Amino acid sequence: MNYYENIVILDAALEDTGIDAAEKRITDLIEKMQGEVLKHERWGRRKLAYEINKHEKGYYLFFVFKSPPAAIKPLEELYKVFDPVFKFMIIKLRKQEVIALKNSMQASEAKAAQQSAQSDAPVEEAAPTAAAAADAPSGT
Amino acid sequence: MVQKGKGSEHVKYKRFMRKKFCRFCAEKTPFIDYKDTRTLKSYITERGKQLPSRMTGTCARHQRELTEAVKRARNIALLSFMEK
Repeated sequence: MNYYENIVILDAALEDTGIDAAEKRITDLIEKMQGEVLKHERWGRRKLAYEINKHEKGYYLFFVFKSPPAAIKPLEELYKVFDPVFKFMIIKLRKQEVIALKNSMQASEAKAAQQSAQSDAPVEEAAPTAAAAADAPSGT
Repeated sequence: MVQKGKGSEHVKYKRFMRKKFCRFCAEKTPFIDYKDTRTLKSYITERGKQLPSRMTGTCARHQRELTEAVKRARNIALLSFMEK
């Protein structure tokens, strides 16, 4: 299993339903090839730095996924024949980038957990930190 | 004699120079992200060409990584190949 990062530029003229469909088709294919989508973001409509196939703007989709290397070929084949996609790039993440990715994912998970804990019991969350602050000066 | 002259010239030249350093080494960035165009833009000219490390002070290793990042960003139209 490798970690990959994938940017896809879709036709900016596409309706939101079309974008949903395209995104679903891509994630479906990744999952079909025993992959797992770890992160997906929509950067939205952006102006391209240069014209590609007469397109001035594009809708950026960003994926991070984990999959066997065999999944990349069919994915690229899909992009080549998939009409709304006019540019794509798949990059294999290096060690350092994978570590950073894992850290960020853990951090976001912890944050989400903390938020849910805070919403459940805000009083409990505040108490240990206050106790720790009180302990610190007495210890030194 | 020649060497002596050269040396003094060098010192004179150096006096006006601030020491350059590699920002990525100083900040200990684990890797250079091609999506971070704001950082990349400070290492390219107005025309979109990459600046040499002798101008920016970037170390050899990070210059290599920077080159790759700029190329990736250009490929996916985050940076332009040439600014008109």
